[in-house]
Amino acid sequence: MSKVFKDRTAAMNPARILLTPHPMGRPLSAPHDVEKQRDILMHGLRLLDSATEGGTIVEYDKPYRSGPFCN
Amino acid sequence: MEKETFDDFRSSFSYGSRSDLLFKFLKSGSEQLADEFLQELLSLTGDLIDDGDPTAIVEAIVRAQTAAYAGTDNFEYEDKPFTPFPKPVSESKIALLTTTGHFVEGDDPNPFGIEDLTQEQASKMTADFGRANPELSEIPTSTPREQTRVRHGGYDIRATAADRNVSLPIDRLNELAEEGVIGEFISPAFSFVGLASQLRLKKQRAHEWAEQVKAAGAEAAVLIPI
Repeated sequence: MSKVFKDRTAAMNPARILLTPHPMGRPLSAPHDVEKQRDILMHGLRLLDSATEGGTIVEYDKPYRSGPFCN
Repeated sequence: MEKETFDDFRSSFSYGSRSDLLFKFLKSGSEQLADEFLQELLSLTGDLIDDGDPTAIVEAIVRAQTAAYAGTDNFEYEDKPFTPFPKPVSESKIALLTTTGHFVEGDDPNPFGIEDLTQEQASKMTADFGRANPELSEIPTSTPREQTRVRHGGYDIRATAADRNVSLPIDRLNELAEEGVIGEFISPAFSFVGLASQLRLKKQRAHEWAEQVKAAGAEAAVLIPI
């Protein structure tokens, strides 16, 4: 999810959280940025294995890329 | 005509005369935050004219949104649930649940009994949505892109209306399942309007929906709040 809501999300203690540096409403990417969508999902799925306690927060550090991308 | 103050101006972006859901945070933060953000935005727009790179503008928006929504509000919980996940993801059944307000064409949840409610109408009914019992939409993972709809009065839907995978990554999870990266992508995917009664969500719906997702065979779920 977008790191815009980091404080309140962290306070809810979800088991595993991946925060993206994206504007609200664009948690995975800009439209049609397939590479970024896939990369973020892979980072999130890795948390299933790597997290060892509830409330684990990882910040995705690659910047939001503006389009246009190929549709 | 009464003179508009800067406070009136910044507040008008949040469901007012200049309503813009990407910039409604101008009301949530301080006057100083709005002042500094708008100055920075104008300066960066000047840079954009010459360098064509909007990255700094996007970063400025994220910084300002983060500052405006800082703090835990009423969202503090004492428990910290955690279940270790013992299986390889490549052998696991994965579900998708989002708060984005997506649904399938022809299966509109028709909030408040209103047919074909528009995004504009929904953005004028946020108080009603905030009191409502949220409804879960089921989205078969084979749903063609052009049959996916989205409506949510709480955020700027333009990006995900252009490409559902911005916040409902059905196509990407289908691909990961086809490639064997995940064992199976559970159908249907699920979505609801997160702008809803948080008490009803916490006390009732969350439990019902967790059972529903488990009954569909899910061993883990990708949850995407908007």
